[in-house]
Amino acid sequence: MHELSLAQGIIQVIEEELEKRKEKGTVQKINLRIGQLSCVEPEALLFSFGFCSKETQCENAVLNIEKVPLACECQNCGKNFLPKEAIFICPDCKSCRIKILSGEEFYIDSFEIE
Amino acid sequence: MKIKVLKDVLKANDTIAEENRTILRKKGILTLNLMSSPGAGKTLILEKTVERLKKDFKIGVIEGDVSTSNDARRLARYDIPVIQINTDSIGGACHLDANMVKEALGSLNLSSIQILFIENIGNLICPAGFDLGEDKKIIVLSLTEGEDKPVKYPVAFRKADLLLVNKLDLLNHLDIDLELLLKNSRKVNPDLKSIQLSARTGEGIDKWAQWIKKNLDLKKRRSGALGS
Ligand SMILES: Nc1nc2c(ncn2[C@@H]2O[C@H](COP(=O)(O)OP(=O)(O)OP(=O)(O)O)[C@@H](O)[C@H]2O)c(=O)[nH]1
Ligand SMILES: [Mg+2]
Ligand SMILES: [Zn+2]
Repeated sequence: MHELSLAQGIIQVIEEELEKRKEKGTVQKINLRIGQLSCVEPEALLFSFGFCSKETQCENAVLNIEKVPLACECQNCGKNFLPKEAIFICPDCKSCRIKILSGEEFYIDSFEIE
Repeated sequence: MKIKVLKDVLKANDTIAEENRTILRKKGILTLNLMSSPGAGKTLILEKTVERLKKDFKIGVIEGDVSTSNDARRLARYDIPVIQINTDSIGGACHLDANMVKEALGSLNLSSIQILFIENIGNLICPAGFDLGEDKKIIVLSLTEGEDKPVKYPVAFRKADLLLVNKLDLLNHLDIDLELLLKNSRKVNPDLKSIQLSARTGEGIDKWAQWIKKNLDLKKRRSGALGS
């Protein structure tokens, strides 16, 4: 898995934001929105983040992870649904032509500094 | 104090991938990203493909592996430009990302390449999440892996443009149901085309070579239309 590069990505984004705002404080908390399909292991992410954040402004930050459920839209009949299995089949018309609306993202929603 | 960011961490990759795509489009280079679990036969397929196409086309390869340059050496024997990316120097990443490919593009002479193959890291999960700037994503699945792989690793199969079913020479030695494998792949991705081949015997390589030529033609026509 690639939690290490994601952890580096988080720190990079936050450092850019801090730089933009000339903010010197320490980051207390980072609020993440992680899609159910993004295959991220929270445990591994926490571990990687702890490792990568050493000696940065994020060193003491807590990661607050909110999972975003998978939502799909049938391309055949237009029905929106939340699939229960890894294979997406429209509950109405049984089509397999499905578009993923959400559940793949890996978002930094916000962070808190002191 | 709370600061809103609303930034997708994966977006950074997509932005670089688009830059790669623009560079490759300008040069009219057909770029194919090969993904599979370890050992499905990506490198052997590439060897056979290069053997088949190198007379008529200028080919380049970007090889991704966690470590060693074994695969790059196997391809460099064909006297084509090959760049090895080893991810162990950058944290042992389990996938190639757009930035690694961008750097590799910088060290290739793109004017002398028409078809660029990218062999991704052997892994059926992570590579699927990272756009590299390629034209097509190709999944290689070998018959020894079982017919359930498309439904076990649906993300990769959902994103693929072509499925290469490799090790066809073993069909009669295994208890594998090829029809079921194809059916499973269509369950996940109804538009997924597939080609069955054996990199070992060369069976089916012709069909795959035709598919590449057809897509190169399409790409040339499209970038020609854009250029004028
Ligand atoms: N019988 C048979 N063996 C094959 C075929 N294609 C590849 N192999 C063998 O499968 C093994 C793995 O092949 P590679 O080409 O190295 O596979 P790969 O996908 O590049 O592997 P990684 O780069 O390590 O992920 C080798 O021993 C190949 O000789 C095939 O069509 N039939
Ligand atoms: Mg290989
Ligand atoms: Zn439907």
